[in-house]
Amino acid sequence: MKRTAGTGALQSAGSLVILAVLTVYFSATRDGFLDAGNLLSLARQYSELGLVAVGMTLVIAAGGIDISVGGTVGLTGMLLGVLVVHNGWDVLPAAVLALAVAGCVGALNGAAVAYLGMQPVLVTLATMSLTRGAAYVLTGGVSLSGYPDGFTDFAAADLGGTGIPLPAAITGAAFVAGAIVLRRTAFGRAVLACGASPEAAGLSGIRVRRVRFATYLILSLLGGAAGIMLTSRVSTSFADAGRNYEFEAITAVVLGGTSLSGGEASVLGTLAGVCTMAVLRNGLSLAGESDLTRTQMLAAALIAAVLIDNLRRRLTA
Amino acid sequence: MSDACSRHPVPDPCLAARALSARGAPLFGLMLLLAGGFALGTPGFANPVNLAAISRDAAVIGILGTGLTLVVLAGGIDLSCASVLALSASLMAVLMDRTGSIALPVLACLATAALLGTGNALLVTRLGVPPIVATLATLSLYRVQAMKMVTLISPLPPGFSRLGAGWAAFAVFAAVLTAAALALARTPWGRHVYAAGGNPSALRLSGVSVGATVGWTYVASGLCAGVAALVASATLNSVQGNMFPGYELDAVAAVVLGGTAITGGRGGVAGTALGAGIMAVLRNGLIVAGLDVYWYQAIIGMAILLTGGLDVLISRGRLLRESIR
Amino acid sequence: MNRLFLVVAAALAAAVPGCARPGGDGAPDGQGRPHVVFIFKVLGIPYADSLKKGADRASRELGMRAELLGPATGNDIQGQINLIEDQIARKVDAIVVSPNDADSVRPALRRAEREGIAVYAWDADASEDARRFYVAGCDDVQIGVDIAERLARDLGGKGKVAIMTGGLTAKNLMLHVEGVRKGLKKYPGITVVEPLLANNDQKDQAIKGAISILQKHPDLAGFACVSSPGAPGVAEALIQTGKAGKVKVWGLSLPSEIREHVKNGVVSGAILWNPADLTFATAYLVKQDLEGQKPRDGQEIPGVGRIRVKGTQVLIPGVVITKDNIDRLDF
Repeated sequence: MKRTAGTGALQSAGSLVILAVLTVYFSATRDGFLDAGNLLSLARQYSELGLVAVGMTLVIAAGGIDISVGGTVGLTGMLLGVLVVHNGWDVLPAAVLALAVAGCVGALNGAAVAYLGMQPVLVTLATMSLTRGAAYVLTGGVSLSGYPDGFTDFAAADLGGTGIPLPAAITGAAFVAGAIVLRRTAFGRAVLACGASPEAAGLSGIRVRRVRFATYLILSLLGGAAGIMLTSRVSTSFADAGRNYEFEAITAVVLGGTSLSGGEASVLGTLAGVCTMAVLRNGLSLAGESDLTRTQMLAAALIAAVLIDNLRRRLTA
Repeated sequence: MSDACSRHPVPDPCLAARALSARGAPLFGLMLLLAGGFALGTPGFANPVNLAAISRDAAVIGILGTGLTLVVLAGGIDLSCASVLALSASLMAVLMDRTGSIALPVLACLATAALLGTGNALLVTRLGVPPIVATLATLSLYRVQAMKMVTLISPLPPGFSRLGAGWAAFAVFAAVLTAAALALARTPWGRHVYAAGGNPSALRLSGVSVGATVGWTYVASGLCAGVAALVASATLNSVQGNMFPGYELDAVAAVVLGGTAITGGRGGVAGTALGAGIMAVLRNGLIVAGLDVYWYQAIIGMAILLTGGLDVLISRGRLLRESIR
Repeated sequence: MNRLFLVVAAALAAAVPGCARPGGDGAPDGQGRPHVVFIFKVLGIPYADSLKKGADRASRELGMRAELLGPATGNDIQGQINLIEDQIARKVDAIVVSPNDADSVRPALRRAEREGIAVYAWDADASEDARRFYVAGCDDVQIGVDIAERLARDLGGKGKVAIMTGGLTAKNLMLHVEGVRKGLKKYPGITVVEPLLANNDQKDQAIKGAISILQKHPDLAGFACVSSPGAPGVAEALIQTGKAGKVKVWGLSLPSEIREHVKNGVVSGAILWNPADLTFATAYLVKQDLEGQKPRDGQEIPGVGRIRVKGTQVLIPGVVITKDNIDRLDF
């Protein structure tokens, strides 16, 4: 069945509705929700996940999936720690090397899926195990701290005194870039075409395998960047970093209206999805609700978003 | 063998061949190799008590994996199986704590597990939620519910823990495995399961409801998780809401290592059993050999990549040969 | 472009600064009660439930609003940081934390103090410059020494011993292990086997680790466990391998976790403190500190006993749990 690639204004409707409802509700009932400091702090907390979610949107748009990116986040952070804390490297070269390793993981994923033809779930399950295991093996699970102040100040910084956290600004820029790439560039159109119908895309001259490979590479690089950012914010490298990021990113992407089968995607929709998750967590936390309840509500929101999306498809079919 | 299989959509005698797939013999060999290596290199590994411990570990992963194999064969996936285990075990423990009896709580555990599996089935087949999303959501929902229900209930009524002693757990696993294998090879439903994953339109054309077939695999997966809950709780002689976190990925690894295609239609429970065995041997061997147990995850990851890659290359080679012929 | 989305997003972005209220009053809640939030390492283990009882008691008896929060999964460093930042946003009066990793929470804790929130540590210490004082149920190293002493005495000063901890990054656990090693060094007849077992606060991992080390060292004579799921897990492993009673176990667990095993002689005993008492005492001292008074050495806390104060460390009395007194302990 051939689907037309692209996205309609209503596509993100599900997540927008949920986001709007939650925002209004929490503003009215939770003291401290609408506080500027609170929202900026929230933006800072979700910066790393946001980066990963941008990349995940591209991978899913092209018809694939990647459950290994959380492991990449952890591995990158641990590698950075081993180089800087254990071996006295300067932060910048260490970060470049760690990022390169993240790129290698993405290349491995991309090559196995696009060129070897293996199933994405299979490959990324394997690399998830591999990267997470490697992150643990590097120090036997012991976390590393003792970074130079300049590095840890980076994530605590604001954008030129405006109060906007630097990590959030970077992630915001990534979202904007992602949206432009997906909508306005040939690459982005190729990504959507591959997801909608690889055969048709191939016939119209798109190098499907190369495009798919690229999406996995981009996601892992973004994951590596997230790992470095997280390490700076927490001022510690720990092997568990990024755990569950892949599932949270997929949740954000699905909440944002992107189709899991590919071909229909919206980076800004994913942004709405991330915001929804952040707002939900914060609203519940401000009321002292346990982390457990938030997890359940997020699961319910995910199902609700899919059902709304199904309804939309049925109505506009 | 596979040539004959490709000519008929779902033939009977080929199922046995499909079930073990080309990977069966190499996997078995690998497991023997691993076990042999550890036995020779590490004192204490070949100790009967240690082997019994390995069998218990393999049993839990294997039972979860067996149910998961059914789901995957039909083209889906169930990431909630460990959470179903936890929630049904929690309910059982609460009942055991209140009444002190064994029979009723055990039945309640199995019934709950089947019910939770039905929840997955409805989400996927009736509400059209993609399996990965549906079971991700239920993974959280069920797990959190288990944690809210029970922090720790220990000990469990005496007599129940006999299910976890020695090789009892493995015996249960063997029973579950046999039942699943028979269902897949000998019943119409088994054939439908393979078809639902491999050739759903053919199945639909032959008048069978694909949705119902797929739905029942989720129920079966839930039920298997319930059995795994019994075995696991007996082994620990306690139940915690957060027991066995993340084991769904272990189960998926066992299925995938065992050669069942993640897209469905090919593979079987025998492979999964071997996959579970390999993982248990590896984990235990690493600990007993004093190696960093963190290598376990990395090694499993590499194993999946290698076996998956080899599979693809081999089937490509075969296709190439066939097209030349 | 997704025009509808842009419109909604713009509307939200405009509304937010308009409604945002700068700063906060930092004052106690409407009823004038101080709002104290305890952030533990993880929820869903019996130790955490017991801690919560102390917080509830503090809410009832001390005229404060005491909550116990924590991440849902074990060793969730990021989850704890997020929780701390949330409390800053809630403008609570005091945060008391038991960090999974002291270094990683340091920036967040220091930010809390800058925003006018009083910061303390309990159960596991944070960096000294990030909290006002630290309340423990024991001297982190001494308790390890005490456990080692008791085990060594049980073994007659001879034999192989395995040490089991929880997660590998918590400072208090590392100090306990240090104490155990120190205590056992006094007995030349005792050797500590490697590796250090880690159960990550999970009983099934404790069982697996114990069985494996027993197979590796069939002549193992004893276990010293410093994390609460350790002793019950080791006990199960001993029962399963038929070594119950022959291998000695001393741990750091709640009586409720090891009651049967202690009574049956599988576990010799444990050294602990009442977690509810620990939390209540901390809440008491926090309230006192908010009113301007520091903890005093020898001060009596109702229902808990006399505390000892060494610098910025406060110790509440601990309990040695054995067959003789386990029935009288209800935590």
